[in-house]
Amino acid sequence: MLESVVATSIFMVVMYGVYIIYDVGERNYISGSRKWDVQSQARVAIARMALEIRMAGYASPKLTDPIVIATKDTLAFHADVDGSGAKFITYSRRDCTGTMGTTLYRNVYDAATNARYCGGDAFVDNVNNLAFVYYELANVSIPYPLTSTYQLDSQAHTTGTGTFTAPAAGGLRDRVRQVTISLTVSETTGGKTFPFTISTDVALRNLLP
Amino acid sequence: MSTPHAGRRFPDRAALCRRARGFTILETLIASSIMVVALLGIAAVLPTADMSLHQSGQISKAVSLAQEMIEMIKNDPFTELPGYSGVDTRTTGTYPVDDPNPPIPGNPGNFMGGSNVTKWANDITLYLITGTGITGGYGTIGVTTVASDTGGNPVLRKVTVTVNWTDSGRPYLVRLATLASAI
Repeated sequence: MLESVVATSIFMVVMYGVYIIYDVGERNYISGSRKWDVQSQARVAIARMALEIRMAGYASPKLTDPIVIATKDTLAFHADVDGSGAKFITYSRRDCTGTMGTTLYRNVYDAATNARYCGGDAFVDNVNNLAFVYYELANVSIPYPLTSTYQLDSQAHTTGTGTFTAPAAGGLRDRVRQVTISLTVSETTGGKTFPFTISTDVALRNLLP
Repeated sequence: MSTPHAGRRFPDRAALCRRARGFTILETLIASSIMVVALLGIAAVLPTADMSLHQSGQISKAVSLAQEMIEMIKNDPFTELPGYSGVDTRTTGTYPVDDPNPPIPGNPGNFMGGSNVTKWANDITLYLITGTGITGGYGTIGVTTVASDTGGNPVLRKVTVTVNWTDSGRPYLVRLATLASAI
């Protein structure tokens, strides 16, 4: 009898150890999956945004309105990013009602469809922060000094089929030569949040002297 | 009388008892200990995947930060690039000087080298240095002349940007280089 009790106890201890290892492994797998998910989403998003924003103003002939909406949370620019002709591309967390959500939208305005500079395709979900900072030649911020919120040339984000005022030569939007992009993607699982924040700068190659 | 195989057919009682008594507590404990050690070995492997993921995230951020400085330098006048040579974000004395300070918005002659490096240093601290055990995040910049014209004036410069940090006692760095042309 005593031997059975001892053997069972030892077995239980070993099984508890196995359970602990399984539990830790499962937790690591879940947290690892979430971290990988937010990292990959943020990486892809910022790489794609940087690639396209870098081309602002590119087309043949050269475009005169490379930056059309430039606020802290919304950027719309004009470029031929894939060789299919110049298009207006908008990145924002605002949908076409102007509501700020956690989805980053990428909207492409093609002349063949309704003109919109808001909403669009859901590009990345679980975005907690997306901020743009604008600089003119030699990295002087616009506005200078930088304020907590800004809408260059007073051009706000648009809603519905609203459009923008054309940027004037020498105006604030016309002087943008560099953009800083800061992006935070996070997911919450089991009460634990996994954020990933990444930031980079983009010099607008086609607008530099 | 006796038969030649009597011992095999009818083993003595003592031998039977020895075979039937199973494992001793000592044997069981030793076996369990070996198993526990083996399980601990498996458990030690589990966090490495998480650590690798963390390090890949840090490297991604460092690449973005290095790219950030390269982009700022590309937006600067070619003639001002030597001001970045020898920059180490840990030593403010190595920072270039803004000229004029404050800048004149809209003036093409502005140079914001000092502000650029300060922003870069702050971003390295803000975005790279997150979590325990991560220390020593800093950046350095090197600028060298690659080619000059017949008059000895530089026309091509190489800019090397490095982001360094230490994670769990191990040093890491990401280094990007680009060429800047006077043309």
